Amino acid sequence: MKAGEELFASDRLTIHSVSTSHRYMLRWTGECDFRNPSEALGPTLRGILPELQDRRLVLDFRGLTFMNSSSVSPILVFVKAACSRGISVHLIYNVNLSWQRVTASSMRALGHSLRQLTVELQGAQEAPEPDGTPD
Amino acid sequence: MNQNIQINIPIAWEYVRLVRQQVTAALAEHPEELRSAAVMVASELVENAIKYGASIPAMQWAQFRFATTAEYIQIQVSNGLTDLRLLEAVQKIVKQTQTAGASEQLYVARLQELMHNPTQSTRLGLYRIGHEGKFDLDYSYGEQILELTARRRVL
Repeated sequence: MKAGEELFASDRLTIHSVSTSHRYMLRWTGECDFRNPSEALGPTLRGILPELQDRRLVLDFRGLTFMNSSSVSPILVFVKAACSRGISVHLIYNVNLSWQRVTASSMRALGHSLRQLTVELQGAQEAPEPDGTPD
Repeated sequence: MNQNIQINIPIAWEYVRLVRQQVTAALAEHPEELRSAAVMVASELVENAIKYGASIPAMQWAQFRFATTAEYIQIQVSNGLTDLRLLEAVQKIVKQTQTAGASEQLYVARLQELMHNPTQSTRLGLYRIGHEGKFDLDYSYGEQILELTARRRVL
């Protein structure tokens, strides 16, 4: 897995993007505990939407150790905006973290109303390799 | 081993992390699921106190209390609250969460609402406490002080 481009870094949260011709992946690492997450995350997430084109969007949250409930709202808005453009969205959660397992279950339930949304549980992220390594 | 933590919290965001660190340390010997749930519950309650709490003469700072015994974990957060609309919202959510077996349904319903009508105040944290944390939630209010109590059996 490539380390990717650092798209967002603020406080304890880093988001890297790894894009190919058919997939646009965002890898979240650290803690997402902003007081105003819509202000902190919203501009970056909104800026990604035009770049997606018809690629699949993958949000990999496995590297997150904590997320407050306030941060869920801008992510939901982002996911809904992508789905409404006909983009398939795939969420990856860490099977080894109990809170991520519960979140994955809740997001699966949302998939009933967002047909483009899929959710997966996986093991922890591999350590990123330097750019240039095939993904 | 029984443990007690009490922290008086200025209305400042960085204290949320202090609380998470202390709860993590206090539950270091407990299973990851329980520790993670308690950290989340403490964090959500303290975030709410800092976001929505008011400094009043009887309570200028919010107060966080954590107690663990062999049987249960109890987390209490008190803060001044003068906005009665906020109080009504808290009362409504707490009563909803006290309905047995409804926690996941409530949480997902709130996610649906937020997806279609995003708001600055998500009011998701109290639902999350019941659903993800599996803590029972209760409240008391008097003399402009709101106290939220989250409790979960350890066994």
